[in-house]
Amino acid sequence: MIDDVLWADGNAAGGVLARFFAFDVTRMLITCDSCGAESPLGALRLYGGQMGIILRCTKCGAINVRALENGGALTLDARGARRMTYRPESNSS
Amino acid sequence: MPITRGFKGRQTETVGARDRVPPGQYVTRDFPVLTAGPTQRTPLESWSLSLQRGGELISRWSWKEFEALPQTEHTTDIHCVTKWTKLDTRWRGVTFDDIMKAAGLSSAPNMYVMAHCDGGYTTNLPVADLVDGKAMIATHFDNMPIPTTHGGPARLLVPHLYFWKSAKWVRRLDFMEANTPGFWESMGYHIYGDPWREQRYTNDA
Amino acid sequence: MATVAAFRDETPSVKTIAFAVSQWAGHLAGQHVDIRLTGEDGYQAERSYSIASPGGTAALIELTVERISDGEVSPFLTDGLALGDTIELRGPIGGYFTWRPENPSPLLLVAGGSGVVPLMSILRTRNKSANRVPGRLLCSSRRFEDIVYREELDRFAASDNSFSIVHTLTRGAPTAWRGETRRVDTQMLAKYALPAAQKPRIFVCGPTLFVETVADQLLALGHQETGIKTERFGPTGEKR
Repeated sequence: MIDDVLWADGNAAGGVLARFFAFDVTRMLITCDSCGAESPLGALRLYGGQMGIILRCTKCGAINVRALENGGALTLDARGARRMTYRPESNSS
Repeated sequence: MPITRGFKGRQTETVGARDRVPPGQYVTRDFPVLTAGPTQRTPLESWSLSLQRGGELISRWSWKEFEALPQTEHTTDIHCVTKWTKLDTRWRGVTFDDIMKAAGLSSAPNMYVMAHCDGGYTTNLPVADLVDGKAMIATHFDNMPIPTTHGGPARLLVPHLYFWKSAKWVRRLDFMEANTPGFWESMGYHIYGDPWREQRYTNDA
Repeated sequence: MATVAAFRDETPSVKTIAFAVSQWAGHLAGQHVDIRLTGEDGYQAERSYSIASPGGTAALIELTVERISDGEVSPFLTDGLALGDTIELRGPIGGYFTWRPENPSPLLLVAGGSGVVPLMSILRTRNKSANRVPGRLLCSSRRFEDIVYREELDRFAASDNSFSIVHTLTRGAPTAWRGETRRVDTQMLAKYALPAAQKPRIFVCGPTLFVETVADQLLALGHQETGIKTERFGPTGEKR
């Protein structure tokens, strides 16, 4: 689905989100509330550019997570994520 | 905030235009594309614009019908909350006033409007900021049909507010009783968005 | 904060900048940093850059930057910085796109232009470690002069039987060229990608369209989605 080239990988949102989470949020597994697909946050499609962070499911395109950083504050809307799972790393990633 | 020695951002000073540039903005000759999702590409045969109240249909126009409405040209400056300002942008479309007239409305049934767009984007506006020539549904930019990446075939144009209110790919204007926040407003951008008062985020004056 | 410690030209349009970073916690191969530049009027620009230096705790890291001619940030980094200058730098970021030498899977790296940077961090990390599980880099560049890290990559391939490189040039090749001469396509991947049955760990990095095309083709060749990690540069070539 090469639709257009205006998205990046969710991994690129890691910098902003890192300031608000105690763990590496790019490795968190996100379950899409629309279609049930599971994906690491770092693999979701990142839109929004300078407006904010919009992370969309790679399967169905629905918004899983939205985030807006303003100075030291973060607003996070994860309604589009049915579940978010973090597991500590194993050595052979 | 540490200054980076020697760094100058992508800013173009336009002599004599400082009074046209709201606080915190810089003038650009580019037209940056910002998007919340994939570019919407609605074929004209499937396109329609609806005027609604509380979700109930008041009037609807197909593309042909919409193009037959009175056309207005407007040259104006636009201001994005991400700090770029573009001067003297030329648009053509149908004013909100003419849309109301075409729908047979002499006054608005509610005080606020939510604009709904292909792709799911929404933005909220007071009717007072749409009437009296303040806003249009634009179909042409610089005399050419608006490209899909910039919101074509039709986008809302409300240039006196930050440009996130000029919603791309607009399809429905729904009159509502309360000023319900739209897509960005519900994330912390300002509910109104006046660039001259620098109302970027919710707690800005 | 990060202080410019050294420069190294890689190609006519690509430069490596070494930064001494205060309070650097160390990084894994594949991670990136966010840098922020502030003009005198307060205007700020932020960009992400992959770390080129191998994973580790050294407080001296390297970024390799391609000068995008009408870019806002890259020309400043390649031409405007001087030794001793400081910039705001945050990281390391992105545990998602990382590789550790303990990983026992065969390794396939596919690079489009300056997308080779994080993959070079992986290769440098691998080279320093004991990991000699089969590894291959398929590297797409415009012209011979544009191949980033060419000599170091050649040294890796020459001294390590478990690692091989395939180069392809998309805009013309020198006369004695023995590599490929076209954009990466399904035939090239079918020929050079490690077999899907080996379940390699795959990293693809480069411009968005390149990454999307390669990833789709790898899936069509039978590779598992969970084994492919991608890093896309935005339309301007600058990440984000």
